[in-house]
Order: sequence, then C-alpha cells, then structure tokens
Amino acid sequence: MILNGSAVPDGTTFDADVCVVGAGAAGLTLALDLTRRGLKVILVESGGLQFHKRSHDLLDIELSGQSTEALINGTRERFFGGTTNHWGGVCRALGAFEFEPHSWMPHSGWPITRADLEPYYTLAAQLLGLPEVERVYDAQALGVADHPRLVGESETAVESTIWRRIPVEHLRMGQWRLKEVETSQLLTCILDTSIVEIHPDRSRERISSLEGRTFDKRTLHFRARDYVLCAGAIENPRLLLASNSVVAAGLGNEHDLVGRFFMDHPATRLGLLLTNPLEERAQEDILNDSELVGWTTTPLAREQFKLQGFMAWLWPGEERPYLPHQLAMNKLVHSPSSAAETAASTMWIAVNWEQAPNPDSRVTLSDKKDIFGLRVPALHWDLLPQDLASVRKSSELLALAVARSGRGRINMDQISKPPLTMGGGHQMGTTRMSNDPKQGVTDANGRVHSLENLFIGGSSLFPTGGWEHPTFTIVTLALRQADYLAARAKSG
Amino acid sequence: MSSKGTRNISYQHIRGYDFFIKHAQMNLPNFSCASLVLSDQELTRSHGSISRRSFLAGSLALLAGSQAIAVFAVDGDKGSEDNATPAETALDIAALGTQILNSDPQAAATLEVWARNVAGLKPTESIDWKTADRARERLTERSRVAAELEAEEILFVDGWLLARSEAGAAVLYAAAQKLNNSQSQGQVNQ
Repeated sequence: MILNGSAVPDGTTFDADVCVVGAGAAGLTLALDLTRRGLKVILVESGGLQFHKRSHDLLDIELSGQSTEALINGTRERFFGGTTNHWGGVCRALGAFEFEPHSWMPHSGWPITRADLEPYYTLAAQLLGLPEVERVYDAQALGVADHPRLVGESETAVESTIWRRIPVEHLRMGQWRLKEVETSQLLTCILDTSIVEIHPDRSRERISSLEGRTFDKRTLHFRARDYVLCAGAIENPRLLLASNSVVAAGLGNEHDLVGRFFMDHPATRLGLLLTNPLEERAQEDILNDSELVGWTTTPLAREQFKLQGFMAWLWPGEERPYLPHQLAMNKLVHSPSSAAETAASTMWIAVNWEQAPNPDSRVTLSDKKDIFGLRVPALHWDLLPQDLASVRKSSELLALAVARSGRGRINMDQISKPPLTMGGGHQMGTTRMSNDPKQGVTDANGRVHSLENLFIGGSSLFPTGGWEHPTFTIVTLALRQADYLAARAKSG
Repeated sequence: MSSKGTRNISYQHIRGYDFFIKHAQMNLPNFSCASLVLSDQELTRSHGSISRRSFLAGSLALLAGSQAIAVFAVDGDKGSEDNATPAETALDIAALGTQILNSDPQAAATLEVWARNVAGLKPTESIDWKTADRARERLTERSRVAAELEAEEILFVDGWLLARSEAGAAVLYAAAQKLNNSQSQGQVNQ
C-alpha cells in the first residue's frame, strides 16, 4: 500500500515490526524482503513517486576540501527508487580480497567475508535478473580467444575483467518494484514524508519512534520493533547527528565516528590509448570490450606495490585531442614500413580507484537549515597522498601491460591534470561496520553499536570501497539484513 | 586497411545507423568507406548484451579515427631522407628526446652513450637525420623492445611509457636536431 503523508491526519502514528527509511536500492529491497517473511513494514520516503524539485531541494549540502558540485550534484535522487533512478545497472560482486584488512590501508577490513555474502550475492543476482553472480574473463568462452588483447594473459599485475549490466527492465527499482509495494498487504509506504528526528527512549539504548514531517507541515510518528536507515551515505549520518535532542553528539556517535570515512570511487581520465593499426576483428573486440570489459590490478600486484583498488576501461565516443608526441610515438613504437601501417587510432581510457579510508573526510552538520528546520549536511572530502600514488602506480602497471601486448601505448598525461576527479557517484563509509565500537558505528549486521534496535542499510556500511560498483553489494547486504531481522523478530 | 588516408572496414549490415554513417561522411573528409557495423548477432556474441547507444558512440569514435590515419599516412611517406628539411615525425621524436635531456641531463647522457653503442655509432660521431633514422630502426627492433619491456627497462616521458631503446632513439634524434640547428645557424651567419 502506498500513502502520501499529506493525505494522513496530522499526528498519526504508524506501527509496524520494522520501519525502513528511504526507498532506494537498499530500502526497497529490505522492506519487500521483510514482508516476504511475514513482517509488517513501514517504508518512509522523503520524495514522491516521481522527481520533484521540492524534495530534491532537501539534498542541499555544503562542500569543502576537494568536494565539488560535480562530485555530489546529480549523484543522489530523493524520490521513490532512490539513486536507481539514474543507475547504470553495472554489477560486480566485491572480491574476497576487498574484505580483508590490508596493512598499507589503515582502517581497512570488513567484519564479514565474501563467503558470508556468497548466498546473498546469489539471491541478489536472481532478484536483479543476472544469470550468475559474476562472469570470469575467459577468452575461450567469450569467443575472443583468437583476438589480440590489450592486456596479455601472462600478465600478473593487471588482468582483464568483466562486469555485468542488469537487464533494462530491472534498472529503475522504483518502477519495477512499484506494483509489489502497491499490492503488498504487509507494507505501507508513506511518500513525501521526511524523517526529522530519531527519538531514543529513556534508557537511551533503544529507539522509541521516528518523527516525520510532510511538505504541508504535518507531523507523523512511526513506531516499530526495529528501525533501519537506508537514506544514503550522506543522509544516514546526517539523521544520526541531527537527532541530538537527547544525546548532544548525536545517536551512535559515542566515539565520534558518525559521518567519518566518507569515500567515493574517484573517476578520471587516465589518458589516451594509441593503438597499433588493428585488424578489423580486433577493432570490433575493443568496441565490445568498451562496454563490459576493463582492467584491474591483481591482488598480487596490490600486495606487492601496496595499492588500492583500481579499474580502467575504454571510453569511446568523446572527442579525442591530438596527442603531444603522437607522431613520435607512432614511429618509435610501430616502426612503419608503409604508409598504411602508420595509421593509428586513439581512444580514451578512464579509471576509477579506491580511496583509503580517511577519518577526516566526513559528513557533519552545517549551521544552515532546511525547510523542516533540520541542519543541512556539510561534506569535507579529501584525497590522501597515498590515493594519488596508488592510482598513479596502478596506471603505470596498466601502461606497461598494454605496451607489452604490442597493441599500443597509453599516454598518461591526463592523470596528473586538474581537475583530478569527477567523482564516481559512489558514496560510502560514513556509518562503517566493525566488530569494534571504537572502529565503526555499526556491527557486522548493520546495527548501531550503542542502540539495540537501530540499524543502517546501504553503502554507508562499507568499511572500504574496493574497485567494484557498489549497488550490487548494497542489494546483497539488504537481503542479508532482512534474513537477520526476520530471525531476530522470530526469536522475539 | 586500404591505401593511405582511407579505411575500409567490411560493411555487414546497417539497421538504424544511417544517421551516424552520414555524419561521418559529412564531417570526415578523408573518410571514404562508411564502415564498422556489426550485426546484432555479433554484438551479443561475446558479451551477452551491449547498449545501442554505447555501440554507436564507439562506432563514431572509430570512424573519427580515420582523420588521424590521414595525418599519419601523409607524414609516414615522407621519412627523413632530406637532411635539411626533416619530416615532421623526426622533429616530433627530437622534441621527445629533448624532453628526456631536459628532465635528467645526466641520465640522458648515459642513455645516449648506450644508444650510440647499440646503434654502432662512435661516441663522438655527429648525427644527422639520416643517421638518426638508421639508429632508430636498429634500436627499436621488436625483439629488443619486447625484452626491455619485459625487464621493465622503461621510463615515462610526458605521459608516455618508453622502452630504454625507444628513449635512446629519441635522444639521438635530439642530437640530430642540434646538429641541424647549428648548421642552419652557420648558414645564417655566413
């Protein structure tokens, strides 16, 4: 059932087993999976079924450090379906290596392993219409065994990889799950209602209710056994910090961790790939590759060179400038014996990389207030020197691998040119998981350490980001959390 | 690949891509054979699915590449036979070599000694464009470059990765340019 908050009498209180805040990838997945297990759920969404300026304006934010408008604007959506309303649908499970602590990355390591998530990755793949959790780059199976490859199979530092796109019909979660929400007997979705305060009880160890506000200033109350915030890596900490009428530092913030460790997958152009004259089939292969195949550094190389996650892919279709020294490289590299063989083509190579967790990159509250009187979030985001060194070294390894393949050369001049990053739109880390309350806001199940019945969902749980796109893991974690909350409800 | 300045890629079939082909024909003067279209079957052959938009973007990118081909084809024919008026390519390689010299003169001097040795040039032998061309051919033999890349005997110059022998060749071109400049200066002074 779907209701608009403005159609509900002022002061109404809703009761349920679980109250979920935010109808994006995490919230919708979690809410619907809980109802499948017989739990009564309230899903509170700040926006409506479609984009509307008044709810979008609630995403106002103050930026500092290397945060830019480009980093944040357009990366969040505040209506039913959340950021899946602009999601590209690219899926890749986090590799086992990403869950491990790395000595060269302080604060790294998840409290769970890939094996813990494996059954839920399988469920998430089924839910999203993927034929399998992941596809290994197997040239034989892909039918490209006889194609020249930009990165040879014998390379140990860089390898080809594949990520999957989900079917178009599963792209906009707010659309393809709408009917399920509308017809559910156990789910009540309240639209156009923003949570403005989370109220703890007298013990300060449990949440007693959430307070919501509609655009016509009605106040609604939500009571449940358990509460889950799935509002994104900026709004989740904002809500915890702004709920400070009882605890001045905000909820779950006993160790000043809420909002810290904000991470993204910085994205930028590495530079241009100058290829050898290619046979027709090779060209075809590159074009196909540009869609779903890219390159990553191997765990072996990451251990050896102390690297963070890195992925690169061909980015065709944009205007490509004439490169400095392109003629020189063409002659030096290709040693042309005839005019025709001097031909070369160029393509952009783009990269995303993993940031090291940085406690100083954080979400706090600014002095500015939104229309509900809630303080607007402030984001301070910085790249560490080790982030830059890592992407540089990773790029060099890729450049070497491509040179060794004899297929061409990469010009890396873009990697050091400002603006260094366009942002990846993958916001993570601000209510990170850890078994140690002094290292993370939540435990391995996403429960806020200091509160018995407040949980977090989504990528704000990620202690590190890996190189993989996060949404598949967001959905996976939501399915795992549904399992946990259902079992918890059963045990009373 | 066909004759210089053009690119012929088999035309398998076009469905709905006519606009892009016309665009290429109108905007790319050296583009002679509208090309690069794969059947839907081929598109899905290896990776299961591919979005039409990105495929079209990729097609355009490749078509646009034919402009660059024309540039190379014209220049590639010229070579450096005429020592007085070197090919643009030779000047470009010399500029790369000059960058190596400027970034680390001492290492560049060592590199030049090594490159002269490999190319069979005497330590003090003057290098003109022709000599530099011959040295490059020797230095950048495929097997030598492959071995250097394997051994990571590389350096990065202006964003480019160069094998040691490629960098050595560039330094020799810089020497040829220096000689050329001094000869030109001498003619002006006379």
